[in-house]
Amino acid sequence: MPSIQARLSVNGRKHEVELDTRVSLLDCLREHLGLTGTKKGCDQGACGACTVLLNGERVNSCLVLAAQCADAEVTTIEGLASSEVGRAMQEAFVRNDGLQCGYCTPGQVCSAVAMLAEYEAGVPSAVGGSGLTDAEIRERLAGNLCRCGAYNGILAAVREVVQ
Amino acid sequence: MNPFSYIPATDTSSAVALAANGAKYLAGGTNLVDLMRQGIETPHELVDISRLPLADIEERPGGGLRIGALVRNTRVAADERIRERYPVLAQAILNGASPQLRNRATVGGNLMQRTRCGYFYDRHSACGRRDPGAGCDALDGFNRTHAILGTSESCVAVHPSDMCVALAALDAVVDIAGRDPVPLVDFHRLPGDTPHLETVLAPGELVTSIDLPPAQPGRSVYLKVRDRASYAFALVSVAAVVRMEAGRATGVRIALGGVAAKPWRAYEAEELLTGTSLDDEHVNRAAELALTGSRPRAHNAFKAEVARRLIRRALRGVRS
Amino acid sequence: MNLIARGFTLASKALTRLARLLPDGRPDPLAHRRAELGRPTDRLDGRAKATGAVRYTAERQLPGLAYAVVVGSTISRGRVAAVHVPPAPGVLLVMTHDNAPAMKRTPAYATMKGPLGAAAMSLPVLNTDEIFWYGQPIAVVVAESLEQARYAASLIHADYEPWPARLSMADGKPYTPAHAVLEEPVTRRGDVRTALGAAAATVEAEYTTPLEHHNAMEPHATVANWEGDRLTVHDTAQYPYGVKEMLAKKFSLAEENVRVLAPFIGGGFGGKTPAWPHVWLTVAAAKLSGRPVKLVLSRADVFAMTGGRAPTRSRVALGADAAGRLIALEHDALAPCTTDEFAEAAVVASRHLYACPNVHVVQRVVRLDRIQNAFFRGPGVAPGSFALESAMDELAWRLDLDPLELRLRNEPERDPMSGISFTSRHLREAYALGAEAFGWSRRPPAPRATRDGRWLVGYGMAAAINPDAVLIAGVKLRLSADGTVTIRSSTNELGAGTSTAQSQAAADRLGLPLDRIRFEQGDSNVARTRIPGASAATTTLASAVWSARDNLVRELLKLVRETDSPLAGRPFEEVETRDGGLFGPRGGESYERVLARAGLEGVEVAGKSALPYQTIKRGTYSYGAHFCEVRVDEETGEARVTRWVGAFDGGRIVNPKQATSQMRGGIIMGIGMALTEETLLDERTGLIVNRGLAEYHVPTHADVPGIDIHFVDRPDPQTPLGAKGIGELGIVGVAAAIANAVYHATGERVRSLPITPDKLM
Repeated sequence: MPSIQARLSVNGRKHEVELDTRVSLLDCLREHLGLTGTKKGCDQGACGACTVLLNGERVNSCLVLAAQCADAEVTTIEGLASSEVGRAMQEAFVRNDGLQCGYCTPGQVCSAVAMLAEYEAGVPSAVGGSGLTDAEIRERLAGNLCRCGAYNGILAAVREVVQ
Repeated sequence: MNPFSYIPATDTSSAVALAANGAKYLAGGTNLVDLMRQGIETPHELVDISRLPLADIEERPGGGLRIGALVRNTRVAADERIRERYPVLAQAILNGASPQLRNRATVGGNLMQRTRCGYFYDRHSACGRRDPGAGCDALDGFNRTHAILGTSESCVAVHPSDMCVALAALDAVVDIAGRDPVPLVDFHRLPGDTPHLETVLAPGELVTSIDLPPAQPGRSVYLKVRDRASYAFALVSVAAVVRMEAGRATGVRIALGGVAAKPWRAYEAEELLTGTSLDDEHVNRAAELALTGSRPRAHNAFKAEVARRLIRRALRGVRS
Repeated sequence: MNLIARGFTLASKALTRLARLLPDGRPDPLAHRRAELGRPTDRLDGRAKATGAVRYTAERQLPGLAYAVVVGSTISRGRVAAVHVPPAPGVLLVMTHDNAPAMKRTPAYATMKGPLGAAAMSLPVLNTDEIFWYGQPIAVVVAESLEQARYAASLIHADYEPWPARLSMADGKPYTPAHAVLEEPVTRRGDVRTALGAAAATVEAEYTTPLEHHNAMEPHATVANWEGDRLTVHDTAQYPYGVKEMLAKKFSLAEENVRVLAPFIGGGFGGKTPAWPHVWLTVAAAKLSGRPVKLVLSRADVFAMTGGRAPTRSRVALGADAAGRLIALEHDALAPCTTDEFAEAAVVASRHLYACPNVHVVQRVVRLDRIQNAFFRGPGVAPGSFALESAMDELAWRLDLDPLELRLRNEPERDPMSGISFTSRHLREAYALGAEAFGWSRRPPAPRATRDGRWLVGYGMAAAINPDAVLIAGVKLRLSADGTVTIRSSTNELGAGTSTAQSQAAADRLGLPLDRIRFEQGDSNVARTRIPGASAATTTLASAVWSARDNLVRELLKLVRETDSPLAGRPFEEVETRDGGLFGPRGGESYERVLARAGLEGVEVAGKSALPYQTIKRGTYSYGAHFCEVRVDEETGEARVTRWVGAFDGGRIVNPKQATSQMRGGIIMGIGMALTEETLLDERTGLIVNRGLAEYHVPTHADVPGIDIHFVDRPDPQTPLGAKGIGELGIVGVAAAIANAVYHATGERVRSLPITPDKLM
């Protein structure tokens, strides 16, 4: 069975593991590194529950092969608390009840943190216009589904962190 | 997903050599990894090209831009030059997928996306795209999201890309390693009797970049109709580019998405509008003309009317 | 009507008559006296969820764990002639009907045979070569790794002997089921047809809702581990106690040898209420392979191997007199079922929402070769209310009457079906609260009269109703020497905020601050607990904790007997639990003091929910009113919801922050139901064509406006805490409110969900 020696850094910690080439970054985190905070909702890039930061950018970790992460820096929900904005976002989610069952929450939090960085960096969205309006935030978070419907609370949490 | 060996490519020529022997190119993986997981793509070797030096957006002599095949979609949409000179391209990209997918997906991969037809995605359904000559379960199945233009009795699938619709309207050209560039409008193929042949690429050929010709002064717009407000494929989309000179339209280009197996240029409508003031009467006639060949199936007749209305809206938008 | 249906109806009528003799409920002092209750406390498990620390079922790691993948059939009916299993690396076991261990048949939940059973279906999956639906498991592959299991599963193929399959509701003969989730299937009173003839205004129309899937973000998962004849199962079960009983029966085990653990569930909505076949197949695969086995359904498997909300077809006829009073109400609802006769009760709203002298309400079903339907948030009542509440809107337009006014004129004083009184019904107050917050009276009266750029703007409203249930639960309560209390239950946390709400209730019940209470859940072995759903967790658990509190007081009074305690010798009735301890007329003392004097580390008592006589004797329902603004792009037919106000009577609200979120969640799911959600079942084969989240469209952030929630917040005098169930209420009526707003915006009446752009072209 073809395998690779995956070398990647997760939340600042270096890992070297031998993996089947088929292992996704998501399954690498969950099944091989014991980092189960990142969730599997659809395994096909259609829900956002598996969102992590790969070299600082949010991606669907289900669609990334672990093999492709050689020398990459991965930040997961477990590592997010070490940044000020990450911690603030987690707390704001709780205060604003931006979660119910909690399953999409790690992806939402990672996505929200990355979204703010993207906005700061001038990455546009389909909404356009001026300022981080509610419509902007909603569009920029549209890649994270929440079936419990915590969207209002998530928006409020992001608003709170922005201020 | 079948077992495969993984080879990170170090340079383009060795990557092409590997692919010539049956390896499949892997870049962003946003479509390929899913297709492999579903058992639709079954390569035994993946050559990871994502670190090849094809990830820049460069000025071309004469004023155009060359977008490397490995530039991520987000970067294209965020590039100041693109936003200023080719805003329709940025709009189209931003109306597709999700930020996470756009961060990962490449321009070349976007071109190579395969259809989202539910029968194509099901290994047990008849699909000539997967299995040459197998027929098409979508013909009399659920085909609300399927093609109305350029279809055949072998396939009614649509190409899912938003970006390609804008590229078609911009007269973009696809650069391919080791052969002459191909205009984007000729890059994807209509199904005919060979729906499995989706592009003009021969096995192993590699898209290296997309060339945008010098930007015209003028206006452009991308409009998209979808089932939910975001993160959904187009039911119908339109990209329109027009320059008004002394009240007369020139350089009119209209491309439709969600209606065919390729981005669909409405050449006859463009011709009709050229030289007009884009008055309502011409706009209406052009919208009719653009859809004259449409052949709806049981559930997608509405697409022709949506497309006509979107064309009218787009042209009203760019003339003012 | 068949014999069983007639029997059920007669028995239910007799029960209603007998119920008058039942005792009233014991008024709960906590309905009025509250400290923690009613506070918008942050979720106690919020931090663990927001930091990714919560472990869900698929995240259980066991030594030697192997991975399983299920292979589904690719025909809907017939038999498997042969299963071909090409060799593949890493495979430990391929289990088919040829080698699967015998599993006893267990009755399907919510059916006459197994009303309390947890099995989704009674079919002998993998103990027969017969195929009953497309996607039925025909093989389970167990391998060393997930990748190996998936690949091996992809190689397996079967030869079939296909039989004709019934897949369309037009394929079968409609008949009356024995019952429609405990509602009588047929109610006839007066003469509807004559009344319709005499009515000043009538509506007769057909409304349809499609097959839908719950699509909780967490896919179903099971981890099974055998140690000898002891079985431990981690499962995404909404009903762990039921799954334990079911597995004990299936595998002929003593119940005490089976433990099901399900503390945190990543959303359920009814889709994880019954155990689908993969649950027991995982257990069987673990047994056969001799390894602990984990099986997580892929998203496509979730569509094929778990049931959804049944499609419904409702014919509704309404007639009103010139004063806008209903004189005729007919609702003929049809839904599919399987050999297990679980019927979607689409007639609930029509039975209990409006006063009307002439009524004919009938629920019928058609047997199809499909996987069993599941409960789905507001089962029956959500799709059925789309029909009724759309028809009410149509009637209001015909009468030239404000649709809100029409509803107010038909508000009943007693239950319209049984004539029994309500424990509480504050729907009028909900209407008033919602209308005021929305500014309903200021809406432009005519349809298609408001435009904003490319958008046509419309306003719609609808009523919501959901039956309230108090079910069966037990808890264990332990008071420790340090004055902290741990309560354990066999329920679970699936997003409703049960542990937070119960901690608040227990704090007030015991007179302790919130931080002294710990509420643990998800272990089937704590106590017999039957809360598979039904919005019943809050009141049922509160009742059990109340009983545990009483038992604790009795225990503590035993401990202080013949001591110097001021409580010594006091009778139970005199003692209050407040301010951190027990208090009688001669003073009291802290819990710590009582235990310290007795030299005890702790005291553990059990509690059981009281039988809910009061809600059988009277009708208990929760209610609501939705008001919304919808914008429709006139040219493209795209409809977007842009404003929402919901006002609800859910009795006393335990935690307004959580309750608000739950109502919003229901409304958002309703927005999906109204505009985007539809499972596409190809009736030629049974294949679900859009079996993924890219093609089955649940609402995204961008589809959801700000949702303003109001509560009447008046206690129900007969229920624990004065509360009523609200988990499902939010979705009921949403689709109709949106369809009504679409009509107001465009002048187009859409009677078939979802309202996609093509239907508004």
